[in-house]
Amino acid sequence: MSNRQATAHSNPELKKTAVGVGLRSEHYQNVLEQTPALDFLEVHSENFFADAGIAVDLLQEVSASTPISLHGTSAGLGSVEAVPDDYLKKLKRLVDRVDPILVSDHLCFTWARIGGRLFHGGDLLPIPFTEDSLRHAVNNIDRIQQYLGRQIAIENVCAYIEYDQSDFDEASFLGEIVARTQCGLILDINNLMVNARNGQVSNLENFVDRYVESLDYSAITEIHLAGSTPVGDEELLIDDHARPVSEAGWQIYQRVLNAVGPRPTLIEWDNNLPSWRELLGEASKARKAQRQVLRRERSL
Amino acid sequence: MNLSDYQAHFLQFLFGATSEPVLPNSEVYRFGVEVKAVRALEQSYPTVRALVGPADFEGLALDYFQMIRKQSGDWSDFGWGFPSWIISNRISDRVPYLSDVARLDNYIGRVERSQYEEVNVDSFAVIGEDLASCSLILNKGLQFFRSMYPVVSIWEAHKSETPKDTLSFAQAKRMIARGRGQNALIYRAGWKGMAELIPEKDLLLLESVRNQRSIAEVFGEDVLKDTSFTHWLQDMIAKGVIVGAKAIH
Repeated sequence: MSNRQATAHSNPELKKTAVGVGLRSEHYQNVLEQTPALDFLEVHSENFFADAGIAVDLLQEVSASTPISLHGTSAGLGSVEAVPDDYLKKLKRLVDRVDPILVSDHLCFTWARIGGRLFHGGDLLPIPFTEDSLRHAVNNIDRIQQYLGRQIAIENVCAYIEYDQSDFDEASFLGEIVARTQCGLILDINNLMVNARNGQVSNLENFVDRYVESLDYSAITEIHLAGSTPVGDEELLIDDHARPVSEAGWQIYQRVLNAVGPRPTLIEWDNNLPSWRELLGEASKARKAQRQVLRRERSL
Repeated sequence: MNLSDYQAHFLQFLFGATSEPVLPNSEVYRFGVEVKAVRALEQSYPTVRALVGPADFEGLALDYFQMIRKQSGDWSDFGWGFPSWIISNRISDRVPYLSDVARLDNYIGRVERSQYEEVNVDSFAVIGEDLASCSLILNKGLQFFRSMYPVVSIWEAHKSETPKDTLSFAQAKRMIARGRGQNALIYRAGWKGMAELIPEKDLLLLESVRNQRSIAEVFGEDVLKDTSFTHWLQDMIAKGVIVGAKAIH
């Protein structure tokens, strides 16, 4: 492994108070008509894997005026199978095209071989936090970082299933990965809250505090915020990114910022999309929370 | 079960190959993936969905997902084989033109995702006296095909919220009753893929151009004196269908 080599690529760094939103096709026109007052726009990498075409042209045009964060949903970093070459080639081509400020994906598995053929699960499938999983995740992250010649960041995911065995808790597992690969961390606050709620955690604030305290603050490169939806008599909370950030979400965000300091923050909204204006309103709330922390830091 | 077997088993559960969940709540993922599969096909095949209705479309999409499964990380890649697969589905007995309509939707998606060449105006200077030694260049990004059904009218009608109120719908109905088909040209207009009806003669011309036959072979030695050729060429250049000319032999 060559971590130094993997992280040698110097990308323009985002300021710690940067705020961005996820750009989805419904809002392309808004962004083309007027450059948004945002520090960055996030897109799902795989949506721009085509050889060429309208989406690719559009992203290149947008990236000329607004920095882009490439957030993958399909690499399957926790898969036993290595991330396929074809996937890596497409990701590299996209990275070369838009020169993103961040490349990231999720700590989950997606690839598996059935009857000798490789298939993709199409979702963010949780992994057990075992030594075996750790080995595969580290191999895949190393492989991507070396292929791209730059650091990537990994995000904690929602888990609706619980494994019988684990050698680590999630935060320690992430810590081990960071230590072994020098990758960055995306702290998804909504995912933390969904897992706490579905795991029937009685004190959310304590849960988050303990989780965040276990992380290497310097590795946290971005924070994600989103809304979630209760289903089945509210027994289960689903991370569907279909609502605004909840009041509790904003409170936890503020709490995390107070602990770790300002961090680039992304508002994710993928389903039941609001107007562009409403989405920018969510970004403004994140900005306000960042300012509050900055003021507090300066007054200390 | 080792980790590799576990991950394979989980995917088999997602694809409906086993009903045995790996762990409690696994069905949350199966449901989520099925929703994504249906949505991906809805986006790629809007005319098919409009034709058969959301409920039948969902059934088709889920059958397709469970049979073909997902093999790449990109959801927009999922469903390239849908038009051929439809032929073997019983819905084709009821809606025999569905596969061709799916093909048209698919081609529109391809045009939107392909390298669309710019017109090289200067290259037309090679068209001189000797028409046997030069050929036109077709945009590699465009598509055209011949259908036994009025696919362009069906596509046009189903862009409307109320297809039955459109002239295209009436035309399609009439043509289906008479067993007549249409030729479709699919090209890119600005940010969108478009389909257009073309006469058989134009389709034959485009096929000949694609096969790199000389202008003289395709259009005849005296074509430059024919104003209808000039108009045809101007129209094809304006749509980005013909993007240049080149010397051959």
